[in-house]
Amino acid sequence: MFDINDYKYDSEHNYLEIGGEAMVFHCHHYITNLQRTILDADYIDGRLFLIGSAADSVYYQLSNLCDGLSIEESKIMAQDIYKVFGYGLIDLSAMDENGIELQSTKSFFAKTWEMKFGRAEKPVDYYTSGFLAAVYAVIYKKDLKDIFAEQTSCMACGDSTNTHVVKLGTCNFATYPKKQPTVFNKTPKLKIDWEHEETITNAFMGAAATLVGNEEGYIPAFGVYLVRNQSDYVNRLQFEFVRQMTEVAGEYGITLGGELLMEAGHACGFFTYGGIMTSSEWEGAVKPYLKTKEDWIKALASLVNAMGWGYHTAVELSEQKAVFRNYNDFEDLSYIRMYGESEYPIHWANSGGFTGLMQLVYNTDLINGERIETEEGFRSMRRATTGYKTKMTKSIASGDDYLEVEIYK
Amino acid sequence: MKIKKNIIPIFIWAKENGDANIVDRILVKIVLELLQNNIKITQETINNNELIEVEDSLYNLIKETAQKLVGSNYEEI
Repeated sequence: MFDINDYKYDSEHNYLEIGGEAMVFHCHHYITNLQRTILDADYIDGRLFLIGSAADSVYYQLSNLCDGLSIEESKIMAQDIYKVFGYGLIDLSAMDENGIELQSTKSFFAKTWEMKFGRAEKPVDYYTSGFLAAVYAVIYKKDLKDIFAEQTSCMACGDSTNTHVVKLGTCNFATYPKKQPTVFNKTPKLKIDWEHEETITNAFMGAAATLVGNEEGYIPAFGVYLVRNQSDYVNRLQFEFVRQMTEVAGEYGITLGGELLMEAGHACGFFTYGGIMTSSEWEGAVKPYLKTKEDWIKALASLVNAMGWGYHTAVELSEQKAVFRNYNDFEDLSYIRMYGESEYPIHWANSGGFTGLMQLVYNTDLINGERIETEEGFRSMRRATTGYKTKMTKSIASGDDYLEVEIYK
Repeated sequence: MKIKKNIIPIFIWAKENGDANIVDRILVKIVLELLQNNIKITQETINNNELIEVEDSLYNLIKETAQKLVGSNYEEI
């Protein structure tokens, strides 16, 4: 029923929207790092927004996608997007007016948590609890505020299945006010200073549409597992975490929380960009155009401009220092939709990603074919004393025309 | 007089044996206790100092937290 090809990529704004929700790719390194960061701070009840963020975004999206569909058609639509987006497989046939007790054996969160960190102490698939709450609310016309959603078993903990219970009851997750529509910043883009930009972007423009869940509902690509996140789901996790850290520790909380969020982006940059730059697709379609290390970075920016994260470009680029911009980056657009203006830059994932890219190109031998996308490789690189520093200087949510970040030694 | 101990060696050990973001993970875990002791250290503070002395109870908390997150025992020198 659901076909990703029905949703056209907005190449003017480097943006993809499905059912009214902006969509972004993330890799399992980023998602698991982000979630562990939230759960580490056990004096915060992260469960409230881990489930609530998913429920809010999916509710809005499914309300649009299921408009005019029957109950059975709506269930199929929900199952389809769950699979296509890379979250695994769910069977909603048992859902009725009273909710559902759902068991699944294909779960992106359970699978990749254990791959990354080993066994979990508590269930980790908060997203699916939120997803199911939203499905129930949309199909059976319930208010999210009247729904209880909980994961009671988890494969990441050693259980044979994931089990989720969704029913009417005292709501155990956060709900949020209606958000604003996307507003793009109209500032003219500073193009990437590289003659092969369009060739690379165009070569990968259609490729993104092929990155959909396989028969298990997973998207293995470039040595990582990808998911197509509702942008506001994943970004709200960041924003709510920092908001609560601020309540606990003021500006010190923003500093500590921001460092960890940036580190999650850094891991994403290292593993995903590293995987892309050692892939057969890169070897065939990109590498023939590369002469310098700077070309590698510009080519990667040209490629990811086809992925829906905004328009990446470099204002200044050398081994010692780089200044990157992103026009209409997914974090700033998301913040503005949900919260309005920010007093400080909020693009930790983008900035961490740019830093990871600099580390890969200048601090490893990746461009000469060294494969370094291992956990130990990441740790070794991060322990190196020659690492880059990151300074987030401009943010659309703070009133600037674009995201800007300085990466320097 | 309360004994004070240097926490930098714990963080050096944690960096050598733990996750890439281990310093920040430790700090976020114990942020409430740090604030109770009027301490606002960051990764940068730790990287730029050889000596940060804290009271025994906070030292022990940092050591226990580091050991738990790294998953092995820290041997005091």
